[in-house]
Amino acid sequence: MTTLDELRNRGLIEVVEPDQATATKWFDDAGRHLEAATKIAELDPSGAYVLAYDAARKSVAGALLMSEHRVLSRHGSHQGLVQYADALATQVDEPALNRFDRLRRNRNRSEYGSQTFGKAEVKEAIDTAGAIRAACASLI
Amino acid sequence: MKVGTRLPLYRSPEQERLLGELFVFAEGPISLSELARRAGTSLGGAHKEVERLESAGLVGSTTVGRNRLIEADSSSPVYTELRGLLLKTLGPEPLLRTALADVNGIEDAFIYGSWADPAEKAPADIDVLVVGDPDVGEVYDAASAVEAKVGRPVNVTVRSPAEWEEADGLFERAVKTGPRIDLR
Repeated sequence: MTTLDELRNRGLIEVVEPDQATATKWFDDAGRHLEAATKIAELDPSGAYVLAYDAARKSVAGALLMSEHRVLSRHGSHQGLVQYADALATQVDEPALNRFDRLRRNRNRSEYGSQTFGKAEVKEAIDTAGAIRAACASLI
Repeated sequence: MKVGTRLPLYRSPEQERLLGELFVFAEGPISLSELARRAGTSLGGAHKEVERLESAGLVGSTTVGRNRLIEADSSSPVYTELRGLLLKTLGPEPLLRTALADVNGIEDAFIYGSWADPAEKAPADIDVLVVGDPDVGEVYDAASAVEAKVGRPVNVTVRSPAEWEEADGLFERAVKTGPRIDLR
C-alpha cells in the first residue's frame, strides 16, 4: 500500500482530478511568499514566519495535487499535509520536509499566543520553506 | 522541581526515581549504592525498594564479588509498558540535555512554562528556550528526536545572546520571570 492509499483510507486526503495549473499557481505563490518574507524578516519577523509557513504549506499541497489528491478538512487539514510531507521527505530525500510540522506549530504559537521569533529562527523558517518548495516543485 | 508529580501512580517519588534509573537511564546492571546515589535516596531505602521490585519480578540481581548488581528484568510482562511510562514522565530533561549537548553553539538552554512549574499537574507539552548561535535546524531536529521518545510535543525557541539580553516583550518577560529547569 502506498502512502497515498494509506492517507486516503484514513480519511485524511481524497482523490481529485489532475490540476497542474492550480499546483503551478501555488508553487508560484510560494516563491513570492518567500521573496516577501526575506524582505520583511527584520521589520516583521512574525509576518515573515507566517509567509514562510504559507510557502511551505502551498508547496506541500501543490505536490499532493500533482499526485491527484487534496487534503480533507474534517480531521484538520494539517494532519494530511504533515503526514504527506513526512512521507515525501523519504521519497525525495529532503529532510526539510520533516520540519514542516514544526514550522506549522511555531507559526501557530505566534498566531494564537505570545510567541515571538528571533532572527535565526526566521532565517531557518525561510530556508526550510525554500527547500520544501524546491523539493515539491521538482515533482512537476 | 519535585520529581514524581507528573504521574502520581507510584508509591513514592523515591520509588519512581529508582524505577526510572533501572528502567530508563541505567545502561546495564548497577550496584545498590550507585542506584541509591543516582535516585537521591538512602541506601536502606533503596535496598527495601529493590527487594519489593525483585519479589514482584520487575528487577533482577546478581552478586559479583561483594557487589550486588541490579537491573530491570526485560522479560517481565510489564517491562515495555512501565519503561514507556517512565520515559514519558522522567525522560524529557535528561534526554533533552543529551540531545542538546550534541549541538554546537548553545550557551544556555532550559525548560520553561508548564513543564517547569511544579504546581502544574498535567502539562501537555514541553517548552524549551535555547540561547546561543546554533544551527536552528539542528536544534529542531534534536527536539524532534526527543519528542518522538517521550510522546509529547517539544517546542523550541532560539535566541542569540544579544536578542535574549535585550528582549523585553510579553513572551520574554514571562519566560525570564517564570520557573525553569536548566538543561546545561
